[in-house]
Amino acid sequence: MKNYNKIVSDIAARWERDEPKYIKLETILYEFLKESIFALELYPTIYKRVKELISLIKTALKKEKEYDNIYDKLGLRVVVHFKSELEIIKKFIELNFIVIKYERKSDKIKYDQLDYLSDHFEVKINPSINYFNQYNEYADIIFEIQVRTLCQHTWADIGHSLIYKQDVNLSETYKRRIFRLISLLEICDDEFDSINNSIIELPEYRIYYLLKILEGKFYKYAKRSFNIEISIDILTILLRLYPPKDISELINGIKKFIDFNDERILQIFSERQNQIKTNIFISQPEIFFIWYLIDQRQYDLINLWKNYFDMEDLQELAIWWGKPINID
Amino acid sequence: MEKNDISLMLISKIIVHDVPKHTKIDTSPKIDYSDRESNLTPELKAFFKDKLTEIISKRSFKVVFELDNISVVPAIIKELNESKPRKNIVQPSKDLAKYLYDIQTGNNPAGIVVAIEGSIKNKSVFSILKLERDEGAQLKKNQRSHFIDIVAVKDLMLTKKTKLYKASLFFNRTDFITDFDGYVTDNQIQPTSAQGIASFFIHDYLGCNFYGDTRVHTKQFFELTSDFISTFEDPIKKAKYFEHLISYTSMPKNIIDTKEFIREYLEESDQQNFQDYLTRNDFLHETFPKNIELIENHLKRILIDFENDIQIISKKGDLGDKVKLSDEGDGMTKAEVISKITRISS
Repeated sequence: MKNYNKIVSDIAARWERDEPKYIKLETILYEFLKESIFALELYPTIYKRVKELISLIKTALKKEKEYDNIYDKLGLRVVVHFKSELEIIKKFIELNFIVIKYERKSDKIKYDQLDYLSDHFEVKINPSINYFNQYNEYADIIFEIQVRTLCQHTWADIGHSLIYKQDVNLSETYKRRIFRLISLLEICDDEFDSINNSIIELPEYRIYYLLKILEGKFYKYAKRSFNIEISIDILTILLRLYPPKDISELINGIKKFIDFNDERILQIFSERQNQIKTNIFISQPEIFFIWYLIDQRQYDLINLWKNYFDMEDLQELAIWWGKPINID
Repeated sequence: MEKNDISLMLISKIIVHDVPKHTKIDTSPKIDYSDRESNLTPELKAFFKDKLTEIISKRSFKVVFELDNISVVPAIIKELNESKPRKNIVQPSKDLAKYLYDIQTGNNPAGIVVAIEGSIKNKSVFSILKLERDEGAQLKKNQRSHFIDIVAVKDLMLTKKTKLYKASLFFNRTDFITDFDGYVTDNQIQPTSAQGIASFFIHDYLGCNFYGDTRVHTKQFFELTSDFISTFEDPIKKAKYFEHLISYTSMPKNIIDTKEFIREYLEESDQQNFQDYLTRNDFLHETFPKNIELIENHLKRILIDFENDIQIISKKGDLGDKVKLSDEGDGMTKAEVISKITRISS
């Protein structure tokens, strides 16, 4: 007990000194992850937390860990939609951080076991990355990044606490019911991923396919969500300009167009923050398709647009793009 | 430097001067100068950039500074765009307003000179707008700070008491790797002016001339359009479009505006194809002064050849109602000419 008191007071003293630094780093990392992962055209939920003192003490005592060896004092969690996105985030972390330790929990469980699944990274910031080179004072801090899918997160958040964090000893019946659900979540995860990948490949889902590309770009530049029903309505109309067989060519064209005009798009979104809140078209991912058409097929666009939408809206979008249309 | 790069402009400074109407004899109305730049908000910057983008991108001409022109404007603009760090714009903009006042006559209405300093892709650009305001629409000067606020100009523009007729944007050729000096729009160019297209604003005030050989541009437009029309299989459409081309290039206007031609004379289904055809053939002049010197002979007649060795010639370059063409199926076309025969010869 005497030892415990010593450990606790040591941790408390050190944490009082260190905690502000961790809180600052938490903000820096959160902003970096948000900006950079959106730039990958993914839209995960990102959580962050700095351990509270009591939690730190519990970890030290329960796991008999030295203060310096507790690496989850600062933890970030990235929850992606689909399993295939885990690999993209893994590559992203390896590229932007110094990975001290990587663990994929699924690699550790046997084929006939069901358990917590998640990717855990113990990392440090990589000062050679531009964003971090001004934060050298944090270069030695090791922190944890967890990456998981939404289904894995559901299990981790609910299932895990049902089984392990209850004070009562659960009966076999309850445990079985929970494990049946875990297996379903794992199957869901695979199925969602598989369906998502298959849909993208199907030619008849050209609107979805195009929207998938556009929404990624939209998250990158606008950093906000949008209304999917409006997107489908507008894309359905605009896609009348292209025969179904041309969709792949169109998507490649739009991708190149967006990449080529990166600077222009960034500037528009930065300058038009007020309009993003009020202009229906710029607050939707199909804005890139509209700009593409203004640039490449202005006459066809005008002749189509006038039958469905307000020409003044198109004129405004065209002016922002730098190619006003002649409607007078 | 493409026209659509104007939408990338970052406006840094704006200053406004009010140039009154006066005659050569009566110079009692004096210029109301601003002694400092206007305060700018992001909304104001966006407003004026959008106006510039709109007016210059819609119908502007590429221009070059004329070497032997006596206007003081080219030297002032060159200095403003070349100086590093950038020069204060207050005095140069006053000089620009003063020169406008000096060369205006009683025929020129009162105007507001708006000088805008900015950059595009980190390279200096400078713009002069000349706005003409309605009689009675006054610009109030801040008497304490001695400047005309750009907000007042914006308000006048929004209430349509001021019209933005003339706009220009200039840059350094070397910065943008171009062989011209800027873009100028003057919506008051008299399309049928006997003196041709060179306007008071472009030539006398800005000291500019049009870029390139206008005869060559006109010929290229005519030939490319003729080639495009030849690609149609429908002989009736071909004849109609050919007549439109001759009619458009012959009309008493000093400008060729490809967008106008497309919009006014081509069917919707052919508009984009024609624009793409021009782009594919590197014809990128949207608006240019017309000069028919090299195509004059083509404008005088339309000739229709038939497979059965019959030929119809319109000596005045139009078919109008004089020849009625109709589709008879199987690639056959019926031509009806209803008129008095004046001569039959061999």
